[in-house]
Amino acid sequence: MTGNKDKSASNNRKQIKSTAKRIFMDCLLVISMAVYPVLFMYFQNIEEVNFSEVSNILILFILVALVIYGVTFLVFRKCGFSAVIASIFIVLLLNYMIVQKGVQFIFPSLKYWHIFPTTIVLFAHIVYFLRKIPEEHYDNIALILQITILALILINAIPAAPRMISKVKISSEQMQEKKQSVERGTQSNFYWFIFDECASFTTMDKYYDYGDKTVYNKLQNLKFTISDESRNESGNTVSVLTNCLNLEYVANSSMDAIQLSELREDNKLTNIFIENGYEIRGIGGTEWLGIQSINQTAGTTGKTIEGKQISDLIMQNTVLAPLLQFDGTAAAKVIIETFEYLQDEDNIEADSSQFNVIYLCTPHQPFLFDKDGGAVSAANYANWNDERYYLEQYIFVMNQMLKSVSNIVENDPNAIIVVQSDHGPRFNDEMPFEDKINILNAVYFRGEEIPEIVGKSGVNTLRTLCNKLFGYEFEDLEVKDGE
Amino acid sequence: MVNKKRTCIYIAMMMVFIVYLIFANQIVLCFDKDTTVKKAKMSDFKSNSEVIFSISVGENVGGMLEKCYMNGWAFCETEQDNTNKEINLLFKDKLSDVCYVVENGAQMRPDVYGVFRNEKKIYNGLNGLECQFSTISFKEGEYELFLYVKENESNYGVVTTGRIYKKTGDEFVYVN
Repeated sequence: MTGNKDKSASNNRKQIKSTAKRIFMDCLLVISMAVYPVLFMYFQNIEEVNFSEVSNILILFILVALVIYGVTFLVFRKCGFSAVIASIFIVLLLNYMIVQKGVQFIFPSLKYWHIFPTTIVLFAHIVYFLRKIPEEHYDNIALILQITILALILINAIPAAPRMISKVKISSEQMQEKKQSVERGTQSNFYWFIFDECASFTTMDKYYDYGDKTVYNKLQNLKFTISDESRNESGNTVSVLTNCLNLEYVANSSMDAIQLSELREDNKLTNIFIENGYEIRGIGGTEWLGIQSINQTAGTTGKTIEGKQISDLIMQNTVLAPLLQFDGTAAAKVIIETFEYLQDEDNIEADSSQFNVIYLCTPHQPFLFDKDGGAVSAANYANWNDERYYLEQYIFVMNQMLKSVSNIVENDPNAIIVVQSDHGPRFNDEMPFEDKINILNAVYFRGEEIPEIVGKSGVNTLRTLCNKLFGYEFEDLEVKDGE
Repeated sequence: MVNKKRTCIYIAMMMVFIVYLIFANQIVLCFDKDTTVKKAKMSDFKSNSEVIFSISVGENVGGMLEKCYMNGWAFCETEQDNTNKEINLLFKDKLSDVCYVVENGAQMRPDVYGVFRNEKKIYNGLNGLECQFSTISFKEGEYELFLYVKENESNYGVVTTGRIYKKTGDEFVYVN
């Protein structure tokens, strides 16, 4: 009796071990199927891409693969069969867009919500018929698939290994070159943020009942000097910024676009920085100011000529691709991409003699974003009647601005950062003219107090900063109203 | 008995699925918060006033709902209240009287009012058009864009923009 019990227990242990081994092999198969496309793309582009750019997607794909296997195992309770079905399903999900494009070539009016559910229903039917095949065949199929996929991974990994080693060498050479190039320009970077139609903190409190001091206090904690009383000469963006670029009141609202454009060419502000060894860079929507925008240029390192990253290329054929595509306007894209650029520490090169002009047409209408960055219905893009649209876009922009300047202060503490607007909200009927031209004006000067800018206009603030940086002796100019 | 029950359930589920496929576009559009598109006949839209306008060519925003964004302004001369003013886009099929109507309420454009207040009987600043609409219900083909502006019951007008748009696949683009 005891002997039979021992035998039975031993058999149970063996069975458990055997099942655990089979489940392990199954998991290895589904994980290999899921990670192969990612590893393939990585190995093919190993000179230009870091592993960190694909690691998150790898983890995601592994987790999804395990969940799919888990569900199929729970449903069918058969090791080899579950692994094969899960593997086929994973391949289908990873290459779904190829199926969709093929179907739409024949039936152009069919959409994602027709094709995807139909694909799932058809797959379920195929699985139903596949169940009739004897189970032992699936163990062999699983083994063949496993060997094949591991071989494919190795075939791609082996030639990539020497390229990875040479990439490490090139990286350290590039760092050396970069160091040398940085030595050529080592002055404090200058960041000039312009948020179109951005109210001052005082205006927001007075007319929008928005007395939240969070951003204000955080800016002060970062050692920004904030001027509540600054105002510009008019509510005309083009003439105001033309004057700022010229450090003088040379433009007015009655000038036409051509006259104003001519005044911006060869302007005093950028010339001063160039003469002092600075590189002029635009970020965001600066093209109309005559400054090329660097973050709107595709084909930079690690991106395709269309501006796609490796994660975009990996995801573009998967079932998630339609859900992940950006469906905002071009204007929204510029705003989001600019903030992402400025919040990435890799884009901040400290003490590199850069004069960065960052222009964003926000919180100016269209009111594209709610306070959390979610999309607003186009019917409210110009809805000044309901204050919350301007208010929420303002909140979103201020929070993103704060993240951007915090990143700069952390990674480039010796910088000078000017956060300004050209004018306040102009279409709020309650507001008198003098409050409409009351501007946002906050300056970070290498972590030092700079009370000299308090109460000054955009032009006079920039003149003051040029004096402080380069030893000029510009005096404050009278701000003429309504020009 | 059990097999018969399973077969009935299977057939019922397939029928529900087929009904879903037929109405899938409409179901998905129910969740879209942007402007809805309706079908109508061009001849339904009457005109008794001139329309003064400026409309952008439009931006093919794309996305799953194949959206298009347009903005601009338009008005008819009027001296009566226009609180419920509409500025509608009419995309008329070149080959028939069918048109797709994108209905919009007017938005504030005080700058337009400022420019025209002395030359025209522009009532107020309610002249703006901002709309984003899905083109998935548009059949493939070419469409001419008209504007229908309804200031009030007394003044309304239809005008052609002269622009032709083409729907192919998932794109809706300006061609001419």
